[in-house]
Amino acid sequence: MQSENVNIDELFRSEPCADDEQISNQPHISYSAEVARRFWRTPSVIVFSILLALIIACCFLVPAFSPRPITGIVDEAINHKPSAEYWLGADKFGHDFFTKMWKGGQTSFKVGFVSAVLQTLIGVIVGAISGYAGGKVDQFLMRTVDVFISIPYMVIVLVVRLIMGSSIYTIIFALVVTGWLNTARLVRGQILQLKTEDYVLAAQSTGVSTASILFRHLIPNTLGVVIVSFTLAIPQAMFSEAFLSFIGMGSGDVSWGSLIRTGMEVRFRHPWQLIAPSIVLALTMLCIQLLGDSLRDALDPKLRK
Amino acid sequence: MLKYVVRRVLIAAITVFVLATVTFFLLKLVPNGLFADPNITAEARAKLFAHYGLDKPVFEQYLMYLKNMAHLDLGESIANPGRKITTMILDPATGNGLPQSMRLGLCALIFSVPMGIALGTMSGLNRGKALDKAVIGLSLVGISVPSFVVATISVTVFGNMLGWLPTTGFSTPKEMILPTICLSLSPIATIARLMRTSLVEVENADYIKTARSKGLKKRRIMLRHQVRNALLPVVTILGPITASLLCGTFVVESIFNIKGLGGYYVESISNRDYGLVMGLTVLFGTFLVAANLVVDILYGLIDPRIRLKR
Amino acid sequence: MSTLKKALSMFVALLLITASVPAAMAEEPAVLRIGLEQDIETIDPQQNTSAYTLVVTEGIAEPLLREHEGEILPGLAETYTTDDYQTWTFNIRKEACWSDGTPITAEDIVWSYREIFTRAESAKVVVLFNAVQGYDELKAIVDSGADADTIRAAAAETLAITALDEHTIQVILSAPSPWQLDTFCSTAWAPIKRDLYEQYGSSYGSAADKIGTNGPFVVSEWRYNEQLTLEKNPNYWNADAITLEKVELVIVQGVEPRVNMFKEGKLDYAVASSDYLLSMPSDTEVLEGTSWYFMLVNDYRRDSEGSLVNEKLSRLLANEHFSAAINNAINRTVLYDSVLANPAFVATGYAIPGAINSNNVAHTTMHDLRGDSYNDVAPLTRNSEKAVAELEAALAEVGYGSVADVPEIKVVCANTTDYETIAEYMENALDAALGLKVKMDAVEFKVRDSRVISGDYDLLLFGWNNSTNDVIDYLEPFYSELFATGWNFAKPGYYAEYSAMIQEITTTTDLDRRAELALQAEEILLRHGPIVTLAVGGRAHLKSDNFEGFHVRVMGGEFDYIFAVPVK
Repeated sequence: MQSENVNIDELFRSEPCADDEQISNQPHISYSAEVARRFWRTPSVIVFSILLALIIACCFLVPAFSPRPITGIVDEAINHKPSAEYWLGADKFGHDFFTKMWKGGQTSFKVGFVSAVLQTLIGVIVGAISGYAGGKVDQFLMRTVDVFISIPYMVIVLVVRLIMGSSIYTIIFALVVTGWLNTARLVRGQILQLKTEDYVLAAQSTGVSTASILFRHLIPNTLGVVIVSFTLAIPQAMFSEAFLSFIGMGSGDVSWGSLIRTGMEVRFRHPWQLIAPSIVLALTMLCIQLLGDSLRDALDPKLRK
Repeated sequence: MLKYVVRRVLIAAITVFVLATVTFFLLKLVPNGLFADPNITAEARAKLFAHYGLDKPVFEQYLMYLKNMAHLDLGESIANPGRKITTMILDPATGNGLPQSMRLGLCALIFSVPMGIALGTMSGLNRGKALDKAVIGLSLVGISVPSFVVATISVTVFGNMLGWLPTTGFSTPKEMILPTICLSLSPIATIARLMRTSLVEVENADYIKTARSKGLKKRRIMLRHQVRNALLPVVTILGPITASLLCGTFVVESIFNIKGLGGYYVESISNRDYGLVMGLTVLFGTFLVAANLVVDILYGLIDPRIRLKR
Repeated sequence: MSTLKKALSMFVALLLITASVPAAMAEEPAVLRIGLEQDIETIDPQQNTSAYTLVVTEGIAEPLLREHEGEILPGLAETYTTDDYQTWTFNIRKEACWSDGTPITAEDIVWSYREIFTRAESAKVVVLFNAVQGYDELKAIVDSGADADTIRAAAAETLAITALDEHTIQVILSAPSPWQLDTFCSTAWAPIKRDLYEQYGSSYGSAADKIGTNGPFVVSEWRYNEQLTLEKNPNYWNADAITLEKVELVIVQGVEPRVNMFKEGKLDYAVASSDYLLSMPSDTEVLEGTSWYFMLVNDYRRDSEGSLVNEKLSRLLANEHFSAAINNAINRTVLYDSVLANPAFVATGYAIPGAINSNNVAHTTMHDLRGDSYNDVAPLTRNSEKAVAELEAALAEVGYGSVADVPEIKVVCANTTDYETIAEYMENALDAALGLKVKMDAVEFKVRDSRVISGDYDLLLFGWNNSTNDVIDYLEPFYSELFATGWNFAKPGYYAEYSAMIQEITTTTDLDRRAELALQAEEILLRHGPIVTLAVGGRAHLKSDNFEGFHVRVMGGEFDYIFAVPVK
């Protein structure tokens, strides 16, 4: 929790980091500003950011302001073909498909974002404790991770679903349970390296508390890895949610996966009900993955040439 | 080296054992609607519970389960009375279940690995050119479009609309094309991207510079040093990719009506077919563990630094 | 380079290996291929009740009598006689035998009927013997947990089924009942083969070689979860009437591949969904099968211990005005024309229109009897004003200030497309018409069933398949004494009257009186009971024109293929 209060700029300025050389060339620019500069350097990043922002905006604004209802039964619009009024037609309840599609996006983003945040948080904490404590604690935690990683994720999802019923929380819970493992491994690896660094040893010898060393010195320095795994976790969670909804194991709320599922059934009469959500889902995935890549490159310039 | 291998195998074995235990107790948490039927009396239900040994204390059930598991006997299916679970998972008479899933996974694997490496190499060695851009585009599609969308659309286009390819079954070569491609797209994309990235990294490594300065032929450098070294990171992800291809064929199997294990996944859990669920979980878990084990050992062989560190 | 070559040759070799695995069967015109939606769990006639498994047992097991297109044909029994509809005498044909030629005697059949009571796995099927005299006493012994030998002895003593001689069986019912003929046609009344059963026990019927067959077909191969192959039984008494040489029951779970296989000529019959139906070429014939749906309002909510929950919401659900509000808030025509888009008819009654008062004696269907008489209870289209008025009456009686005070209501359903679609319709329709917040809770069938038994639901979407075509099968489940544990829908208000009617229906021999009672009972259920009738849905059956004489049924096995004839 404390890590959220820490100012990233300060931390990175005061600690040694992978990118010493570059920073020393530009002494007045902080690490995060440098990352930002490198991130925005590529034109495609700007394009995809705008696209993603547009998609997110549509997801949250279109359903809020659309004049056409997506609840209740609209008798006169049932199975409407695409028209000036119903851009993508209407479904069997007479709901405007264009509006409904963006409503579905809300579920996808909620699941993706919330579960990515939670699984990263858990992963960071477990990974940090495991890496810093070492010894038996480390052994135990890492073996636990090994076991969890080898439980097929579908089994966990289905079991959680049976215990908790079908709701968006079930999906998030199941994704978090299966998702934190990789982050934990990565963070542990980083901490293992970092804890032998001089400044940590110095802090230890001067009697700085363990929590303080962990949260003020070690975890902030793993931020690069954490951000990378976070950007990977979002599309992965969205993918999983879509997949689960597609096979009928979803949350019961309208989502892109469930829309594609029904779209598949009606695709000969209403092809757009399959094509439109598929395209939007794919575009979103594309944007998030590309931006994640660019962010990773920006964080670790050594990879980039 | 031997010590390293023994250690890894031992850890893998313990992992599988713990996995079996965790799954067993996890499933005991599930509210069971076993034999819930308005026409079945409590007494008849009790008899059925006794038949499947579900009336015993949980720990006793657990010991029985471990004992049977050691004999590779997973007991009788609850949903399909009288049917052995081992036969359901691996049916030697029909080749359904695991063999079928493995055929599908294997086809996808032997299609996607060379394909991904080839595309990644071409792209990495021709950076910035049209070919590179095409490969990047393709791999982006591969990672952004879910397999169920690919499957649905390819069935519609190549099967329903054009009628070029059959859309069900997996026995004739023609039938194998669509499922294999649908399943391969994402691993191809992943491998190609990784291959490209690691080629770029390797290119600037000192030993390549050295090789160049020694005046070795570019082609020779490329094949002997660059590609070979760039393959290292690709090897690491082959484990997870193999495991996911062999196990994660659920949607493709259901859309193309391939009688693999995928269908049992959901069905067994909703049927509360405990034996089958546990069998599948342990099987898939073992696959995953084994795939990672092989990669670990391979990596240890290739890169001696790894095993020395341990 | 050599490694590359090696890899390449390995790649090619692997491809060849994978490609050479046995290919699909070659074209054979006389093979009827039916696509089944679910895996066949068992082919033991004493174990299965599902419409899918009945498709198999009806082909391989010969009961006393056989039903085909609404007619009762002779089966194991060549003829039967009854004077009072209570004592039935069946003359078993002398040539009756198993597919391996072993003769079947009256003794064997009676032994089978008694043995079923000892089998825990037959608990669902044994109900089909409930009209026989002595059933209740025997069932009590079974339920007390007696061992198999005690049950066998008790069955021989109490159950009024006896072999009079080697070829005659006498069945005495607990009351006169002409409509038992349907039951005699169900495969539960087909014998099981004693030597095989004694060898395999509870796994009898779990494999092609673990079943005795005496029907028109034998099981030649059973590839689990893939295909079950039936071949003509040359020793069948009526083998001359069977034209089909081979029937392949192909298991294809998804609608998508099922329709595709039909299109590719790999299936002769397949069940499609309405949306696929609309994409079919127009020359494909569509058969109208029937499935029917209704919604139950939980008027008898209980907690997990089974005691009555009498909180505000429970009282609202039990309020008759509340049922009426729901009945008027839904648009049954839209539900079926557009939402489910099935070739279907809208249900205003509860029992399906084709449900027959009594199968054998008079073909009086419920539709003949009632016409559209329930329109005021379950109208075809939405009546918003009435719905709102009824809801307000209900709210006032229970003590809710307004509809906003009512907590979210859960509608429990199985997680199949049709149920989920109806549930989604309910969410939307009840919100639109009444402002009632309803949320779908889609669960696995098993979970749904256990929640029905424990009474743990607010609204429940339901539908079922009966093994006979008699209207009593629709009404009986709501008369809980006949059923062992579940379905306690009853609440005191109408229950006494309803029970009396059901009791009279099961005992009267007067067909007119029976019809009248059935109609009244149904009306009580609809007006005062927990049922909101929704609709009778069609199932889009895709049918190739290679075969004739193939029928789709509402009851029992879904496909009646026994007498199908290939068209040359």
